[in-house]
Amino acid sequence: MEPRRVLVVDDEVAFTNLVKLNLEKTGRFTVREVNDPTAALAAAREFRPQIMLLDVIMPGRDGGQVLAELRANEFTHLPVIFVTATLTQRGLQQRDNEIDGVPFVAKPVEPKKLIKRIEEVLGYS
Amino acid sequence: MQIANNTIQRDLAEAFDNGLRLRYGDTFGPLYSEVMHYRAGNFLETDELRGSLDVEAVPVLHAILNNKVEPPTLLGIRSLMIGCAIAGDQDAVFRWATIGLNRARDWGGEWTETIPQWEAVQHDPGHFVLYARQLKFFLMAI
Repeated sequence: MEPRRVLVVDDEVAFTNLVKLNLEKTGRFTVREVNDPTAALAAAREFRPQIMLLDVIMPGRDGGQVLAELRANEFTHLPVIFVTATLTQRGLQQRDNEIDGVPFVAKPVEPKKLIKRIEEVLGYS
Repeated sequence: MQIANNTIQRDLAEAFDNGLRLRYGDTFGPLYSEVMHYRAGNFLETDELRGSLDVEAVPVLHAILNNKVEPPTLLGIRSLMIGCAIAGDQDAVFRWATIGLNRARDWGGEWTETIPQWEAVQHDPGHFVLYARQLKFFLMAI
């Protein structure tokens, strides 16, 4: 199977580096890192992701604003997993790792759990 | 007697509140005043506070991911920033100040007045955490 293309939008360089490292070493994913949220749309146009990991709180533009921009363009159905450090793991688990049907993962993220979540959202686990 | 006590408490709280605003000016004065009134009268045990912050964050995150951040959500963001300061979570304070600043700028109107407050907290979240915790624990001790 062709590696799935994952766009990771987060201002924390250490986080996007870790996600790239852990996902790509499985051989099942290709990851593009975006640390400047204002560059997300251009990166998505170039990379054509199949799924996006999107931080909620970033300087300049937050995750909601980035997603609104993508949805207003050609990425109306791009699956998204929000990444947040604003909820505890426990708090998120109590909500089945979703908020109103939108998948979330809480930082710090365990690589295995993140991969499982991505595969669930992509519908092949 | 109860009525008298309540009146005295109210008077003291008001004097304290006014004093904070005088001492700390337009930037930190209103913020410390909100710290003072944040869940007033409750002992803030950290685990319990963390749990309530999780609950409080859900509607705020919902509004953010739907890109519908209006004044009630801005109030929620501010409350989360203050709650996280009392809980001693400096990183979370910085994050909420960041999003509060972005969204206050976007919304404009009366929220423009809060911009220096978000900026000050974002610039030195450790300072805000320290003062918020000192203030809250001082108030709970009396």
